[in-house]
Amino acid sequence: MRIVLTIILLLNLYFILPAQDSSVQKKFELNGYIKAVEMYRFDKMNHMNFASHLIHNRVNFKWKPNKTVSFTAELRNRVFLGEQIRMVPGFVEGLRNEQEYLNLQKAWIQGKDVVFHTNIERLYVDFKKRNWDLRLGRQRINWGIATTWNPNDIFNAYNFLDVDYIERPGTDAASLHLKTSDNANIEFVYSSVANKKSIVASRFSINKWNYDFQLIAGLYQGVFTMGTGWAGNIHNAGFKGEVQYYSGNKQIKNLLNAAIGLDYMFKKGWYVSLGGLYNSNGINSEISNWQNLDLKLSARNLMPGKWSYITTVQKEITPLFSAGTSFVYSPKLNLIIWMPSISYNISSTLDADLIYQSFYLKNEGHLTGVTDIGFIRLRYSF
Amino acid sequence: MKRVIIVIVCLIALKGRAQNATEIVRKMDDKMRGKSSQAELTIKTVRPNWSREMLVKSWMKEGHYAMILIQAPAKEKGIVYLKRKKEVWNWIPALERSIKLPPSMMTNSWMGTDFTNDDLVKESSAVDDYYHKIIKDTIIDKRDCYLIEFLPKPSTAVVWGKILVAIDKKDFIEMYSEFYDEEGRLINVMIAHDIKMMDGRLIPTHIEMIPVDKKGQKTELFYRTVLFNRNIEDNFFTLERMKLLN
Repeated sequence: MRIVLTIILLLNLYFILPAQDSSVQKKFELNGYIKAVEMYRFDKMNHMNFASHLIHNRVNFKWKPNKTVSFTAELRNRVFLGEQIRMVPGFVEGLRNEQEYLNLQKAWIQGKDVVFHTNIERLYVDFKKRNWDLRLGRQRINWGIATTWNPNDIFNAYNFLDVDYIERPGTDAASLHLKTSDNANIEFVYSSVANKKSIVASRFSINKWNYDFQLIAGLYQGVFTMGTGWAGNIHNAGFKGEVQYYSGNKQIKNLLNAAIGLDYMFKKGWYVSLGGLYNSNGINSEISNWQNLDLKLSARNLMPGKWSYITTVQKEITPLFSAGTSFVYSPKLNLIIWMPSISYNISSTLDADLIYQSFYLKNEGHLTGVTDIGFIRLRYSF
Repeated sequence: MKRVIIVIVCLIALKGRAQNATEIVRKMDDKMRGKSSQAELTIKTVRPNWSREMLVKSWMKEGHYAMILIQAPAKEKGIVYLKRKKEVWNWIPALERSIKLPPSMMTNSWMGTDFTNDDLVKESSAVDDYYHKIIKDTIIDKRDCYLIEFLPKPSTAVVWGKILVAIDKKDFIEMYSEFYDEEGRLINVMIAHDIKMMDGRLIPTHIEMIPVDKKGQKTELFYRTVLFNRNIEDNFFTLERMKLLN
């Protein structure tokens, strides 16, 4: 693992070194960011408030020795400081992505108040020819085409509440992409997950009548799955949706996830998105204990409630400054999540964000604030 | 502003004798689109208190197809816009997914500039969507020009009520344009500068788009390289290729 640490150091040093000549730059590409994130959590139920600090560094490296072959390695380094390490049980173990087969993570430092953790997020080789593309290794297989919730995105634990992880986790897989025409292609994926059965699935995508359509079928950790998705428009509004079905067995019930959404961009930079999600195994009644709510969202559990609705409004106030708010509501379960945010582009390489998440639960007729989380984030991109 | 892209790409040298206004515009238009164009350019957004630069690479073909790759700044690097006929997608490399853009997004600002999404990838014709009339002769930047009035045809949905365009008589370069709304108010002015030979054609390599009622605000384009009429197959403009551009 010392080698990995050396690689991290070298990769990060690379971008402060003088520019290479253009032929070298074409073959090697390096980019990424360093973020400083301050998080404040107000646990209203247990009256426990704490602050935590995070340095989050991502390094993306690509080597293209020729037109056919390319190698990709992406690292995520995080240094956590603060009370959360002590207050969140199993904090370090929780950093592990359970969707991965190989354990390529390492906690370099595991102190009471500090944790330094690295994960190799992507590590794959890609072979491209005119009509096919074979990718082997840890990769992101993103089959989502709808706006907020993606039932078709079956290869990844997906959590839209994790605001500091837009790249999403990778999966250890082999994928083969075949182009069948200019408008259609088919993809086969085999993915392995540690301590679980594998996932084998294929997707057929086609563009027809100004819509993107897709059909998915496969075996998902021992059960059969099939799904469909579309992205098109009704007049000038975007109209997108995804449906995914998983068969059941002795341990688990059948599952149907379905998402639908409309989005529209009004004049002067006002963007509005409306969405709904159905999770057949979701909770459809009040719960007495907030702790019973599973907010560890995944491909099968996109939201804990049976029905969820989201409204998002965003406004570009100036090209540098934008604000937005999302409002999620699960009826019956009576869960409300309110997420306002603002972002500001300080310079071409520096961005600042202010993000807030507020969780409410209605119980016995009373709407109770459960948890609030505030993030202040500064990002330097290179 | 809807027709800006036409203006941007149609700055073409063509020796010939113009017979009437539409003929002149057609010569511009024929040359501007050619069969295809590929360009590398810097887009500078200027506001009273700040400015930002973006480096982009573009491929366009016959007005139906366009691909735009952002190369800088670092945060946006690798983002691609793809247009096929009436559909537009966006490739976000960090998410490794393409997003189909709702048509309503097309009339909004493209990445904070004074251009709309539509301006960049518009499927339209300076020739077919407007009536043309030569108003007078004029001199712009020491070049003899025709001043031509563009009035939209009733059947076409266009943003502008009128466009006045000064076209160089010898080289058919669009030197200067004024964009008016339907009430006749002047909204945008476009000025061409630094006319240079690029890939065998005389074109302006610096173009300013200035909204007249917004003081200290403009968007500037600086062409670094342009290639015309290189063969680009239709299947270059596909979702598959969009993902592979990086």
